[in-house]
Amino acid sequence: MHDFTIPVGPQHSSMKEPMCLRVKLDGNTITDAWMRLGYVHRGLEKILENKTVIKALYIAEHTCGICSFTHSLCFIRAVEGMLNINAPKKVNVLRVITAELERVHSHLLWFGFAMHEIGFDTLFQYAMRERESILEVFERITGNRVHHSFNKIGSVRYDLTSGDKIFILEKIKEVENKLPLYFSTVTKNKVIHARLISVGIINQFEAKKFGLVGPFARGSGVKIDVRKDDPYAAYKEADFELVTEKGGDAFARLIVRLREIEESIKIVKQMIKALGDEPIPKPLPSISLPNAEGYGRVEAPRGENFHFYRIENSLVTRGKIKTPTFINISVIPHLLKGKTIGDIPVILSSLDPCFGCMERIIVVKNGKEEVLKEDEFRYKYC
Amino acid sequence: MGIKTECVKNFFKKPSTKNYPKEKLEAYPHFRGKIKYFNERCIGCQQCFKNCPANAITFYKKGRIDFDMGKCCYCGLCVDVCPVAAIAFTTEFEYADNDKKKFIVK
Ligand code: SF4
Ligand code: SF4
Repeated sequence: MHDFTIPVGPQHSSMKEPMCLRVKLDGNTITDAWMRLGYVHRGLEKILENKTVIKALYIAEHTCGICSFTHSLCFIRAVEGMLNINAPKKVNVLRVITAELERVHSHLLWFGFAMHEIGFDTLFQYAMRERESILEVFERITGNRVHHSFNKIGSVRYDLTSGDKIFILEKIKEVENKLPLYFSTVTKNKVIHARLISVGIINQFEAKKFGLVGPFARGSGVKIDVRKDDPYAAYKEADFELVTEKGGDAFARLIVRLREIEESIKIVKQMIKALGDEPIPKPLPSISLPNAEGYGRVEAPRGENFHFYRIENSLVTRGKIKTPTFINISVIPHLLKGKTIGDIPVILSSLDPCFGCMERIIVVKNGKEEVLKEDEFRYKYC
Repeated sequence: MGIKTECVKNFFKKPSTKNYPKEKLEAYPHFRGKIKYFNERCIGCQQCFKNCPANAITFYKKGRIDFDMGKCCYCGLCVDVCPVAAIAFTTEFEYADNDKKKFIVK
C-alpha cells in the first residue's frame, strides 16, 4: 500500500470558511493530519491600535459575525473594569437577554449545519426556520440582525418596551415548542447515530490536557463555563444548569448544544421577569482614561472569549483577542487520526469552528523576526 | 412527535419564506439601514467624521459630507454624536449594486 497525502481545502464542501487540512492516508484511514490556517486573517488587533475606546468597541465587536455581541460584552467587561463602572442592574439584565438569545441563534445555526454535513437537510431547513425567529427579535430590539452594536459603555442602546417583551416571549416560545422534535429525532434516528456516535471521541482527561473550552469540553464531561466560574453581568441571579455529557463524541456535543438552547431560553424568561421599570442611563459621551490595562472574559456560544487591552492617553495601544476556536482547533489532528475521510466533515463541524474570528497569526521562524511586505508575504507563504 | 409528522404537517402550511422581491418583510422601526444626511442642518463640527470606526465618512466642508455605505458598519456612532441630529438612519436596506459609487450618500 502506498501512503498518500491529500489536501482537504482550503475550499471545502463542508465548511463555509477556508482552512487547509492535509491528511496522510493509508487506504481510507487517516494516519496523520496537519492544518494550515491564515486565509482569513484581517489584522483586527492592529486596526484596534490608536483608536479611542468608543470606536474600538465597535471594531472589537466585528471580530465575529455570529457571536458579535459576546465580543462587545468582553470589551465592555475589560473597559468597565478599568473605569470602575458598575452598570445598573437593568443594563446587565438586558445584556444577558441579548447574549443568551445569541447563544440560541448560534447553536441553532450550528445544529442546522451539522445536520446538513451528514446529509439530513430536512432538519437543516427546520433549524434555519427557528433561527429566523431569533434574528427577528434581534432586528426589533437591537436594530440589526447580525452586528447588533447594542452595547455602550455603561449602558445599552435601547430599552425594552412591554410590546418587545411580549414579542420576545412569543418568538422564543416558537423555538421552545420545536425543541422536543429535535430531541426525539436525534435520539431515535439511526442515520444520525451511525454518523455521530463514537466519532471524534475525546475523553475528559484529554479534554483538560488540550485545554478545551465551551460545549466541546462540556461534551466530554468537563465542568467549565465562565457564566458559572466567574459570573459577569446579571448571571449571578440567573438560575440555570451547567450542561455536561459524558460521551465525549460528536453525538454528546450535539446533545450538549441542544440542551444549552433549553437552558438559554430558561435564562431569557427569568431575565425578562427580572427587568425593572427604571430608565436605562445615558451612555458616556467621551471617555478619558488614565494609563491602564485590563481584561475581560465571557462565555461565547463556542466557549471562553478573552480580550486584553492596554490603554494609554485614552487610546487603545494594544489589544489581544483570544477566541474559543483558537483553543479548540488544536485538537483536530489528534481527533482525525485513525478515522476515515468521511468522518472529516463531521469531526470538523462538531467543533463548531469559526475561522474568521480565530485567525491571529504572524510568521515567526527559527525565533527570528521577519519583516515582510504584503507581496513578499504572499510570495513566500501563500 | 416525530420528524415524519412534522414533514406531513408542513405540506399543508404556507411556506415560511417570503416570495422576495414580490413580497417584502417590513423592517422594524429601530432598524439601522441606509443613512440620510440633512445637509442644511449640519454645523460642520466634524464629530461624525472623527468618531466613525470604519472611516466611512469623508468631510469636505460644512454641509458637504460623504457617507460610504460600502464601508459603513452600521454602528450608529455618527448618529449618536451629531449635536444637531443632521444624520439619521432610514429603514431602507435594498441598495446592493455593482457600482461602488452608488453606495455613497451625500
Ligand atoms: S454608522 Fe458607524 S460606521 Fe457607519 S458612517 Fe456612522 S459612524 Fe461610520
Ligand atoms: S456631527 Fe453632525 S453637525 Fe457635526 S459635521 Fe457631522 S453631520 Fe455635521
